[in-house]
Amino acid sequence: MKPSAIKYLKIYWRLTKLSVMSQIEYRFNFFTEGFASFLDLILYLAFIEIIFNASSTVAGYTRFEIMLIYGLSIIARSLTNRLFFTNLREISMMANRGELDHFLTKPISTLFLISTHKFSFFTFFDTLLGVILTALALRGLELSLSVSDILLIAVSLILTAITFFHVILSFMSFSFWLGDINHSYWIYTALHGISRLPITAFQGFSRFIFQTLLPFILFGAVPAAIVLDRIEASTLLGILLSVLVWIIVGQFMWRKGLASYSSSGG
Amino acid sequence: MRKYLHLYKMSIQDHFSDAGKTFVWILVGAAESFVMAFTWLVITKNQAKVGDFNSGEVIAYYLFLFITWYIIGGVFHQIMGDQIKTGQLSSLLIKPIFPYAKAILGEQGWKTFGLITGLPLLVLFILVFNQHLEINLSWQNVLFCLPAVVMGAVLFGLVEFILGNIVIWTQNNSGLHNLNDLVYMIFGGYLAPIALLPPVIQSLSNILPFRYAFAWAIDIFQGHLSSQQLVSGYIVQIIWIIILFIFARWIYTKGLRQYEAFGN
Repeated sequence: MKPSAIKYLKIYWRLTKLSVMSQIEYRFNFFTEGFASFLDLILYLAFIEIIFNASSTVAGYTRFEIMLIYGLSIIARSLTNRLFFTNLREISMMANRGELDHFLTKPISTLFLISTHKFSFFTFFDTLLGVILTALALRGLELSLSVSDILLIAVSLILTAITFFHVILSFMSFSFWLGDINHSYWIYTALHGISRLPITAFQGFSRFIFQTLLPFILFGAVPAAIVLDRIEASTLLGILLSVLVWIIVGQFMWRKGLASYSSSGG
Repeated sequence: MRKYLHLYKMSIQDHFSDAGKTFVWILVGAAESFVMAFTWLVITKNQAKVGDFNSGEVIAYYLFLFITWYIIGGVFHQIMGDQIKTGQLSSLLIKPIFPYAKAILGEQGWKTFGLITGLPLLVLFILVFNQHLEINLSWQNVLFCLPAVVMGAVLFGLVEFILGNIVIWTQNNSGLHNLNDLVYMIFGGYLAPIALLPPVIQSLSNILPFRYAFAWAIDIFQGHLSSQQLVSGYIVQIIWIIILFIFARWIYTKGLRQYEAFGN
């Protein structure tokens, strides 16, 4: 490993430690967050129950297959949110208050520092919830994950993180010209519910939106389809293209935005 | 009363002056309803009925949820919490108005703004789901639904007020905020119409207050209740308002005695 990579890992570890310490300071909050995740589990199980009381399959997927999508989607969301996304929305606030200077003057990558400066410890409960749902689904399907399945899920998770990192980065970079737009981050969270539907649910225009333009299917539907061996090569190719485009757009917007940053504000 | 009306007017003006930001929040609410409606569209693709509901009624349910949010909803406990946490409450306490008036009325202004500017999104929702929507308008249901909407707004506001005051003891209420959201999702009908939920959750929803904020008014509007259910539901809603009011008063006075601000 290169010395710089070790340096970044060390910084990340320290930032994480600091975040965790400040978050568990509020004990009441710690317990309510934990209890909320338990209720989340009930919520998802109840919703799956409601769905399958109404229908025997959803877009050709059975109860446990849908549960697998839910589980994998929750794992992907909790890991990506915890690592980067909640921090990225702060770009918008910091750019408008002139607080980016604090990050720009540090001798490490600004984007790295911004996206990792806070670690959302409580989403760990959500990861656990996702793992429970995935395990229940796999048991129901009488499936076990092979090493290649796990590797492919990991690749899918990395692609999800890269894609939506750049999606959010692109939108937040608009704040260099438009002012504080950090609340637009919640549109992403509101749309996230769509990631719990199987790939086959999207046809026509919705297919273009959620498979190509904003590939929310990467969170749960794609890794589940890989495990279930129900994915087409053309879908994967389309997603890869989308990932590449978002990387280019995200990096371009960030650099352009940063070039326009004037350190105004309080 | 005039000063409160003035605060409310100021809040509406504020939201119009920062229209872009407020409109994004309205988009967030609309996105949630669109996602749920789309999800049900996929689920009920080849089905005419879901439980006692026609599939078009389930989709219409989410349209009504979107609208009622701007009449009944409006989260202000976080604003109250911030005022307590940052010590802003100290300056509000010496003013000749109710200290949380700005937080509460600010949110009411947001709702009014949302109801007006959300109209194009409402039209969009109807256009997108036009073929799948089923809305049976009956004057009787509208009439019965009105008191439920007003009392639902009071009930929701009281729960918000209690949650806001809790920050005096906990200092941070983000966990409580998530918990509250989830409780409304499960027992308040955000997730799906109460009648479609598993029997255990349905029974709990009938006893707990959360159903009587939004879902109750929508159920009446959609005409899913018998006259006996209507009477008993109204009684439960009134009882909860009384209980929550007493508790809100108690926690408010107790909280003010406990409150302390320090720093600069």
